[in-house]
Amino acid sequence: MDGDEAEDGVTGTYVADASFEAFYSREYRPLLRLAWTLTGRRDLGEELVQEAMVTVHDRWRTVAGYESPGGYARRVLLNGARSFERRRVAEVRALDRVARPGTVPDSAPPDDELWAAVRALPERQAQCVALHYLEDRPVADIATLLGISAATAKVHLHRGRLALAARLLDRKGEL
Amino acid sequence: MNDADLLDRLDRRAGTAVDLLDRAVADVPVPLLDLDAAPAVDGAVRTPRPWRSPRLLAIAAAVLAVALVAAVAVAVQDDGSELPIATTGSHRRLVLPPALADDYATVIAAEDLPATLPDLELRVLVPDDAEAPWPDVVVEHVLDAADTTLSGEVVDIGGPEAMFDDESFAPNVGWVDGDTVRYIASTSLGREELIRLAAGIVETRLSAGEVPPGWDLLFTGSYADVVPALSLLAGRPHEASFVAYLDESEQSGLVVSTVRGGPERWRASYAMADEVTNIEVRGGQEAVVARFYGELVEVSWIEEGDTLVRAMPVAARTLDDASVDELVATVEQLVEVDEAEWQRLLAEHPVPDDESSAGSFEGSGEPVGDPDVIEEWSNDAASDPDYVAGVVARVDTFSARAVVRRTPDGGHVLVGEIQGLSSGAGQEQDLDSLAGSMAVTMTDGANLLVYGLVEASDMAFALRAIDGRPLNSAGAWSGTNPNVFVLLVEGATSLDEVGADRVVGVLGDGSEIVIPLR
Repeated sequence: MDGDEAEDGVTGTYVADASFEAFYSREYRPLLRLAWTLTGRRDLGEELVQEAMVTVHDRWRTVAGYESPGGYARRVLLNGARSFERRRVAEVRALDRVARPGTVPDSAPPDDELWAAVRALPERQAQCVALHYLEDRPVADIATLLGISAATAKVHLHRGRLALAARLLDRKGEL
Repeated sequence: MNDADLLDRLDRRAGTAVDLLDRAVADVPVPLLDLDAAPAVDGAVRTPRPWRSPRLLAIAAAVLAVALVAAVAVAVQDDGSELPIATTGSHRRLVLPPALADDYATVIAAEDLPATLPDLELRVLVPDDAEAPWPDVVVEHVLDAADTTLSGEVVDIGGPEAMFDDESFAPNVGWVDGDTVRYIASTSLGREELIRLAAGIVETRLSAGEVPPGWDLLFTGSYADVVPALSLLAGRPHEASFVAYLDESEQSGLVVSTVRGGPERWRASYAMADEVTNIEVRGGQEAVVARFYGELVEVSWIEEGDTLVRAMPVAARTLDDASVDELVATVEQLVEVDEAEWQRLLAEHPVPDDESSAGSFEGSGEPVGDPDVIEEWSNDAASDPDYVAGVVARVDTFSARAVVRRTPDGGHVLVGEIQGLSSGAGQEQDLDSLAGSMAVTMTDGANLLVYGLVEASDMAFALRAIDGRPLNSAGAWSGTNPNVFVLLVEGATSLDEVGADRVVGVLGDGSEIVIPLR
């Protein structure tokens, strides 16, 4: 692979398959949005997206033929977020302990109070709520992506939104 | 602020947050992909997801059973006269008048049904300063620890092992108490409130059955009192009367139950509902339309001050608002019958003995078969990127599942698996496509599994004999597209033994497709 800079701003090429390159550049930022809100830190979100995309890259010959390669990438990312959280919590805590105050960059997403409340939801609810708001997906799409029934996705989404709203209400009853 | 206002405000805030996030992400350069980064998916540690408690299996069974229950004909008054008005001393019985009953192929009139599910006493609690209609309720019950395992998120309630589960029929906190597991569930209290209540019960060392401070006991009953559809299958409440109207496919219709009761019993009947809408029926009587777990809908009210009436549609799909309106319109047409007429219906049209239960769902909550295999089944949908759709079902002596997966060459495969008490079996079918329909059979030498898929998600399934009779089997389907189904027959090893030659898929509009098995 050479170091040519592609027109979409991706620095350097990294795979021989141009279709994956296009997929990667198209999906990187949407996946980063999801990963950033799921991890609460942009650097961790970027790492999670990288790991998910490596998995997609390794299976690209198959994934490219899927009806929704983007859906597959999101499933990989959501699965990865689960174990990712456990692996990174210890590292982040260690880093925060040894770093001088102010040296750890504040990389939380905008309005992280809301996304932190999403992260505190039960896993399925958090996934449904995040996909609903971040990607404006209908219930049927969310269900397909998560591999659950539409009725179940509807329940998770409804309960998740109510729980989220309850957590965010302040003492004045404002949201 | 009601829920609709709350969600509206949440949507606005979330919309603003997403816009801000979009602007932040837009400035992020797309980096080089580091192909040496270790994928997070492989080797990840998965927390086992324990099987559900028997109460949830029973609920799932009830949803299926109502869709598969057979029916008998309702008598039609030849002279077209109206049915006599009820003067019963126990409770009122409501039925459809002949003109409407004729729209259905068959009906069952039943009471004193045999219990087909284990009993489970529960209690409905309300805040001690609350008045009817008691907006906040908590449902409490206790299970033998051998029959259930906790699932969900570990929470601290001051000592015992405890978990908060928000993915079950109703959000609940469960905790170990000696050789039992105690549960408190509520769809109105939030997570923190439930945890605080559980912690308070633990701290004050209250035994099961004692009422926590600040609460009153509203009603004591069984799970059939708080969950729709279970009544007919469970044979409880024992004193209740039932009438079911089914169309020719037996997959669509109406079930009406009546039992003596007042506001307390009524409130218990929708204690586990996610959504409750207040309406009026039958000349201004207050009623509710309650939705449960996104799957079940029930209209209920107190008829003439002394009889709790619960009307639930039999449907192979989740009802939309138009269908609910139709249900409400139907209950408006119900008429009371007197004791003599009711006894005549019972005598002439009982529940057929060989079709009174769609498979047995008794037994403990413990998985049947190899625990490692069952754990893998539980995790697959969440952890396997190639998982497309699947369904798992169990009866007393075996569990079975069918799964559609993608294959490395870009195709798909249908996998059927049986896990019995002492052995298992599996087989795979390459799929040319996910369109159309197919059904295959397999056996582990002791039981029969019929499984397959169809393209339509809005479909229920039943096993049919060569002469078209519905056959006794326990089934489940994924409700996805493709719609993957399993039908389980205990103690049979071939289609010849059960006399089956087809699977019938019934769409929500009542139309059918036939999937041949031979």
